[in-house]
Amino acid sequence: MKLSGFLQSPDFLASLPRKSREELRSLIFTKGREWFDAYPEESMVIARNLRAFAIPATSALVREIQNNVLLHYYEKMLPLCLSPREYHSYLTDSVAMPPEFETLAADAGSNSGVVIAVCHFGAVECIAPALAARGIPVTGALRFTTPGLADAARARSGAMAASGMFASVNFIEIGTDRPAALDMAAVLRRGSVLLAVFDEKTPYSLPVTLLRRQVWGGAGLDRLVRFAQPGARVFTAFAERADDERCELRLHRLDADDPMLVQSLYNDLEPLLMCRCAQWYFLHEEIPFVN
Amino acid sequence: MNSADIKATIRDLIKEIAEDMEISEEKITDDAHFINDMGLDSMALLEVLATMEKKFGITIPETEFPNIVTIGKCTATVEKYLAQKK
Repeated sequence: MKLSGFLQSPDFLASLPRKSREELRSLIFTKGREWFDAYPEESMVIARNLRAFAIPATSALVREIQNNVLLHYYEKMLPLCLSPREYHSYLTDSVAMPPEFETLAADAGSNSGVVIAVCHFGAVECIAPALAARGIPVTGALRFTTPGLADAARARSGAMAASGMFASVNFIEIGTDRPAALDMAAVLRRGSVLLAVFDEKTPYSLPVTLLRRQVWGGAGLDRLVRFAQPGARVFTAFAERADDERCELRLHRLDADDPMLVQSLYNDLEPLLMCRCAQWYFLHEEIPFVN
Repeated sequence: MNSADIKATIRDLIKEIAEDMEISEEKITDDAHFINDMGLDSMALLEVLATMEKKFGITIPETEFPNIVTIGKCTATVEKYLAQKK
């Protein structure tokens, strides 16, 4: 069984409402550590990926990466536990906004279409709700790992918007029979904000350089940006953890006309990996190396 | 440009994409659903949309995107916006 299925079983999801942050965190870490102990080959995947990037694969670093994987699940499920008011308060206290947020807010308000490119790094699950908590409506393109989580997330997002404390957070589900790319293009043509993942391999990914290795990346985001031009804006966004409960959002506006746009996304990720590689929890997946 | 010319242009475009994706030409008919019958993915549909806009010099509003599903429906959509352009 995959970790996502193990941590997001229907019974577990049903038990979440009204759990405190501490209870959820403790549950996720207890169950998650059980899972990592039961599947030692998962630690080997992380170690192999680290070595491929010439990073020493110490057991401490492998464990730290696993902890970041678990923190990511904690943050993914947190909105299902807290009331909209509690979650709003958590986000405004825990996610520090950089000065570039004002630029993003202005672009989002200009109806020109904004792509926020994110990856499996740090507190990525907090980015869309943190922006919504500050009044920016966001549509996230994502792959829900279980149908139960998809239903729960949609219901919670509706409750958050209904509370009046959040702008809307909508979802485009990838991997269903819906034409996700057209739905994403429609968001941009409406002049709205689209949040999408760039560090995955799809048939439309391109080879890029990351830490001196070639990997497949971009997931076709460059095609979407090209379609949405002229006028569309592109940002990278990384929620870099300061500790287990706080993070700082890093925003950088890129040149949407950049012919090497996909490489530029990875150029923004690379310095973060050089000092905080444990936060790239994608290291527990098979990294899509070109060779 | 008449309806037959528009349809032929769109059919050629679909043939080109289908060839890249190693999809058999036999599957390409006016009513074949791009995803369900032909096996195109959604990013390929975006390519169809972008190329149609460029080739015909039109902008198709997002409310029409659900019509990018068959050659027939694409033709009708292009005809509609070419007529509005006049």
